[in-house]
Amino acid sequence: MKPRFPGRPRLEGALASQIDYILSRYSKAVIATTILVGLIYSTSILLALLPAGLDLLVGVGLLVMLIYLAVVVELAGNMAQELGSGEAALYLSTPLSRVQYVMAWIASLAVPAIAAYTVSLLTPLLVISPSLIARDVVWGLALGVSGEIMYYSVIIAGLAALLKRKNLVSIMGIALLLIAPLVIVFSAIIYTSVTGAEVSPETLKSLVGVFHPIILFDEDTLNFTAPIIYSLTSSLILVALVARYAARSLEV
Amino acid sequence: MHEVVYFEDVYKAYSDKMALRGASFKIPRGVISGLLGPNGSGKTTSLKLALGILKPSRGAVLVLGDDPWREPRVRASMGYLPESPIYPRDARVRMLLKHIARLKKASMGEAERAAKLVGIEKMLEHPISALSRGYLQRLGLALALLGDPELLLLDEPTANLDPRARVEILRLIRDVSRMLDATVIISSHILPELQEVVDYLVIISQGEVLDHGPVEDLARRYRARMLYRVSTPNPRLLARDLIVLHYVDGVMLGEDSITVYVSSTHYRAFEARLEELASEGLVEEYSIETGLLGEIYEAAVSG
Repeated sequence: MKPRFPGRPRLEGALASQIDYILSRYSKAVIATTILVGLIYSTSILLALLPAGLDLLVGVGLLVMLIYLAVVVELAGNMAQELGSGEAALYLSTPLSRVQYVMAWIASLAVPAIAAYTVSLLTPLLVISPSLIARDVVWGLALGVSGEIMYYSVIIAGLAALLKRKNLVSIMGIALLLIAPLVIVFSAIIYTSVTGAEVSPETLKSLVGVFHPIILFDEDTLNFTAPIIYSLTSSLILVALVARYAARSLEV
Repeated sequence: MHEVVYFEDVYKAYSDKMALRGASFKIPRGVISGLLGPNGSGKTTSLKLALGILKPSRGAVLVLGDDPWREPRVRASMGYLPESPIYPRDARVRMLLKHIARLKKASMGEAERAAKLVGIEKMLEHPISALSRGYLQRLGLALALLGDPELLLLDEPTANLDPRARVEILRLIRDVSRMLDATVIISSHILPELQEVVDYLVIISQGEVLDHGPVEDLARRYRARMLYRVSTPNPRLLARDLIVLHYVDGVMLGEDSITVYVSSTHYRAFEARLEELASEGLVEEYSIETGLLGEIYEAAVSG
């Protein structure tokens, strides 16, 4: 009798089958990113032993989040390509519904990135005594980033369903990820220098927080409750909107 | 419900054109139906509406009693072969078959049977990008057959194939529809191909359905010639007898049968003559093969 090795659990149902299928095709990108992130964390673990280590860990954590968000953009490009090329008709000509199709992509974008991120964030705990690290901060960061990845996955999947073009989704994704927050900051600087009026840091934070909810965390206490609540609530509203409009208009 | 597909006053508009204009037709259970019309007439749109991957702008589409746009579950009983299927080039044949089988709640065993039926059982471990056009079409047919569909929608199933592959695919379609006892709708603009397989016809032109019905009825209505296959112990003698009739346009000899082209206006007289010959022992049995689709189509289009 052949030995059976434990593998990824087999998912059941049309939605689960589609998630399983997408992951089996595109999991390489997430694995490659996790290895890259592992290397970054190896460095940060050493540096985290310095007095400013906790802030550094948060800084590295946010940087790594951007890398995972870039992976989400790249994977969402495949969804757009699938819809634009007509490959999606292959799946949508089965009992898989349009809502299930979009939800499968959202889950496939968000869940592996969140899982890989959380695992890599917890890596330092393997070599540093948990008593030396503020566990609340680590968990807060993990949940905050997870919320942001979810929030971003929903937005980018919605864009992919509407635009149906890989390049356009990549450009829009990068614009939302990096350019839009920078434009807000530069606009505030220009506004201040032209009018002399000051833009309060809270206002600026709130505006950038629309694109990156994680920035709403409390810097003094390193409390991540606000971004977690914001991104999860927004994600739920966006999921409902995407299911209502993007999926309903999905003709192939 | 007797009809498998029911279109009532269906309109479908794209951003730049109207693809269907008030299409109404129905297709009964168990037939092999041709969707006949030139390129751009609305055939593919009709099939996609029936499948529920397009939403009608107006009108009602019912397939197996359900609205396929709102009820994706009805697609579990349908198989679809698109005109130009786009496959994931990075996947292997087995992986795709397995996935579509799971979506249609079919087992991998069924998927392997479908692969065998269409002759790609040795290609299961091949990457899809390595398959020739003929094999890609076979793969499409295997995917369409998963889940033992009650309704098969085939969009230009022989497009881009060489003549040998065309013959093989047509043979497969005939065999499979018989085996599954499925209703089949084939969209095509190639008349000789449809002529060989269909017994029901929906004629479509510029987004409008001009007529629909059994080929036999349409042939009579449009006075197109009809093809009879007559079994006989003596084909040459029978052919000599029939060719002299003024409403017989031609006779083709087979080994133990003949095919006769008959003007549809005289089919009763022709059948009466066959009955006489049957009593003399020269005719064993006869059947209407089909009407000449080209003539039916021309007559329907010219009104």
